[in-house]
Amino acid sequence: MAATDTELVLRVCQDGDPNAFAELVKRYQSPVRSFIRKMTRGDAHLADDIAQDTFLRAWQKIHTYRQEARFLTWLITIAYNQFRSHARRREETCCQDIEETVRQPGDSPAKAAEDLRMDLEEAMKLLRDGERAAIGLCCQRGLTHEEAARILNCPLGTVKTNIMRGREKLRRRLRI
Amino acid sequence: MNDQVHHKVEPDDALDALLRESDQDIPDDGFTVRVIASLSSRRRPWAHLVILAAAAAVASMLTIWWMPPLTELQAAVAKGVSTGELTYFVVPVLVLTAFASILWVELEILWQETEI
Repeated sequence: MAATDTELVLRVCQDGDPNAFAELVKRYQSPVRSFIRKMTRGDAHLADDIAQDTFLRAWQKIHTYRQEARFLTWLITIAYNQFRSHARRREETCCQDIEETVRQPGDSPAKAAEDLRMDLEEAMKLLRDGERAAIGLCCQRGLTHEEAARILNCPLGTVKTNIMRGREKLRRRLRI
Repeated sequence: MNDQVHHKVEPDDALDALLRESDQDIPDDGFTVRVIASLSSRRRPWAHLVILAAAAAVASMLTIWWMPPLTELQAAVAKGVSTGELTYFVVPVLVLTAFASILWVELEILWQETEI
């Protein structure tokens, strides 16, 4: 039977076991990298650099993990902090608004569905950081609003507002 | 925990379905290996803290060694206030800046210990 997160964390804390940590990385690399890719607007190389820093930070700070939250929530909190500090360094905070462009109707359903997915990716890039993060965490990753608020270090109301605004922008852009 | 369930985002329309669909898994492709390899090459975090703490200690000693006596600093500030001459404030401001920098390094050490 696969070891639980708690067992793996204990092995890392007590024995500094890199194999246990590797198992945690393997388990959570996908959601962490996926979240950072959204935040970096699809820049896979930059996202992987930040994801790598995130796991190194987690390795260094794993003794501070108190198990009050899920391990994934704790990791994504680190990932978001790493992204923000990187964005601060490069002054890349997003302030763009969505452009009022719309899809063209008349394509086949399969092509339309594919186009819609691509349009969604583009539309996500145009959301503000807070909106993109909240939608990525809650609507895509399925985290609760409370978990998102903890990760993004903002009030619950801000998360809800960002989701509402972000969804409204996406709907307007995608016409769905 | 129950409270969290109430706020779980429920899919309610085509947009939610599209959002969930678009969040696909990313294959590992050697990412885990790269992370684990970089663990051993990364300098230990305590070494970074020791360097910062040592630098702060040396800077504190040098500042205390070189700074003029407190009575001189007080006199300079008093003269500056009474005459309005800014030049009297130069030395006290430099000393303050030195102490502020040392304090900043120490706070940085504390921050690094607690921040994730």
